[in-house]
Amino acid sequence: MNRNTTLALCAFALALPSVAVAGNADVGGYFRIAARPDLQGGDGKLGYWNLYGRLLNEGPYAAVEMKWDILERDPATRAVWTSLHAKVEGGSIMNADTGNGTLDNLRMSQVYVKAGNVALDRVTWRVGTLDTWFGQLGLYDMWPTRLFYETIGVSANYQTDWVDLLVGVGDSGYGIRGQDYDTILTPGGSVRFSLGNHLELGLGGEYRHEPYVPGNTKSAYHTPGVLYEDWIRGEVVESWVEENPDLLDYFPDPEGRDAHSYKAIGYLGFGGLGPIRWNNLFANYQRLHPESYTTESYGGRDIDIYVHDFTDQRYQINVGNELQLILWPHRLEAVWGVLYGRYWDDDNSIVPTDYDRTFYSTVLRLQAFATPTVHFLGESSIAQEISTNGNAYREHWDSIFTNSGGASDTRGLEFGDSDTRTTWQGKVGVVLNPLGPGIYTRPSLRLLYGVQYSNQHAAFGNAFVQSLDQFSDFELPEEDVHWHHLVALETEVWF
Amino acid sequence: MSRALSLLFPALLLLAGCLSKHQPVQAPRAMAVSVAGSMAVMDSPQVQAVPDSMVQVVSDLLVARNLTPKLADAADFVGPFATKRTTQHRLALLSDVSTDTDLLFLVETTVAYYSQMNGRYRWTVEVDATISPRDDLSQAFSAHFQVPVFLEHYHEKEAAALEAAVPLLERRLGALLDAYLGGL
Repeated sequence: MNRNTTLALCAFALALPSVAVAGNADVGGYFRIAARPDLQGGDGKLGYWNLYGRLLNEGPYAAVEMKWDILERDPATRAVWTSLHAKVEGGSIMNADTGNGTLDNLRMSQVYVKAGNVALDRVTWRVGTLDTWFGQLGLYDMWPTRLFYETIGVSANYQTDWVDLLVGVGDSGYGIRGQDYDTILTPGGSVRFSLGNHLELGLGGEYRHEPYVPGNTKSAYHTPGVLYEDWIRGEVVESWVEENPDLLDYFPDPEGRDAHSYKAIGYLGFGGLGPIRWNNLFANYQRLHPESYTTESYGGRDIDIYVHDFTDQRYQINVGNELQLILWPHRLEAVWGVLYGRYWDDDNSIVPTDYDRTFYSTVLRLQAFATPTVHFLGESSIAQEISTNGNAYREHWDSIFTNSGGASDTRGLEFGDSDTRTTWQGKVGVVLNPLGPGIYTRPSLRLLYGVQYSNQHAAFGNAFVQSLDQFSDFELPEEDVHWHHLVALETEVWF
Repeated sequence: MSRALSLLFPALLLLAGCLSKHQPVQAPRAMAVSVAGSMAVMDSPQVQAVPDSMVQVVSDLLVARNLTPKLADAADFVGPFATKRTTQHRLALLSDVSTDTDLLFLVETTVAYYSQMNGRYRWTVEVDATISPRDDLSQAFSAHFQVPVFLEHYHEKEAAALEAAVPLLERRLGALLDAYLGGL
């Protein structure tokens, strides 16, 4: 290095800051907003939920996450670092939904501190909310492998190029019970193996244990001597009084229970093979945590019915696969999703609920890139939901006259006239992607048309008259509505 | 409806074709530029060369401005960059290994994981881009900026984050070159 260069370097050193690492503060987030008129009395969604694909079936959403580097990471060393994360999110934006963006629709969903290279090499500690997952079914906006969603505690994450090990423990009491908080210990963990950039395998799970604490009114309890059917009908106290006249003061005291639940997850990912960009297969098997109590009013008194034994046998299996294909590089991409769910409640064999059903779904999205920023999108889905405890869907606006046997049953526990809902959706439109091609490239500005056919009458959020009362203030629809159309002007962005 | 759509799509394509493109500022004369792009990752003293896709984008930016890119051999700088952590020292090294160019263009990136966010993996790409006359480093002109990136899959790491940032980096690096060349 000659003398002139040395002098120049000195001058240059004064003019430039030292090399930068991550800034002290950073903000990221996600927004989704849409105007979706349908002129059919709908609420802005094509169907009931994202089993038919998230597109046109989800409402607005806003999420902002702040990261503050308390002790910045040094890219050159394994020095100690720590950062604070805080996230606010919710499904409401002014003028876009019934919540109108009021702050009570938002929540401080995550606050945690991460610290690395403390005590153990390659380990990142996390204290606070522990929410984590292996990946996402993007077409469905679902996370079957989510762990620690309700948990606040501590986790340790050990990472190398080929293994990612997470161990955590915390308390899910507030996340599950809310204002009826009771400690729910939640240990769990996951491990993911990576074989190069082409294959990943992951397993994990969490176990939730709520020990009975004598005297604690928020512990898990069950009220003895109660019939399940009476509880479903909200007639537990009434039945008790019928059988025990004038003895309401002697209504059975609840018995304490230890409550527990669990979730096991699995994941297989592979890709980088020919047109297959990546394939994610997610699965979970879970036993839901029991509910606490419900309240019935009788004779001006509120009586709590503790329901541990009525709600502790709810199981779920969810399996989802998403295949991303590059069919024609920079011209055409596809994503194909398949979803299966089997839910059963061993405590309930008499009333159709969301805890007793089977569903299947498949969604295919194609996106063609006419130019780097102007794309055409087409998506179609077909799904079937089967209630395993009887009818749960109305196929006709006057289904009361076409239900089981054509006879009205004022004490019946079923609803509608079919145990199966079959739904087809089609969506097409123009997408403007300022950042270029990519089926999941964002931001996206979309002008879409969507159509749905369902065997269920008016299978979308609506405010139709439900009564068949001839003296109804509002005109009865008097015809089945199986088709639903809407136009959407929407945008979605991560930042 | 189908007729309206059939008219709408060609109209949009037509509009897309009519959009005016950004005209890059041209260098006053043909000039050769030594180009080096580095990528630092967290918790590692090692420095890597930027992915080929980014090298290609930088080359295209230079060619579009009447500049001839001459890519520095990664073997010449990734090793020394591990110890030379400041921009000024790296420029000096690039100057030493580039004897037949007029300008130096150094793009230093640092890629850091941010968090899981709404189903994706958010990364942050920090960039220090500097262009300088090769024989007078005191005239260096630089820009520092940060680009957020959202990756869909766990196996996508630093290189993928950098590649995903290319559309935004291209815009910012082009602006830096235009600002510099406009003053020559």
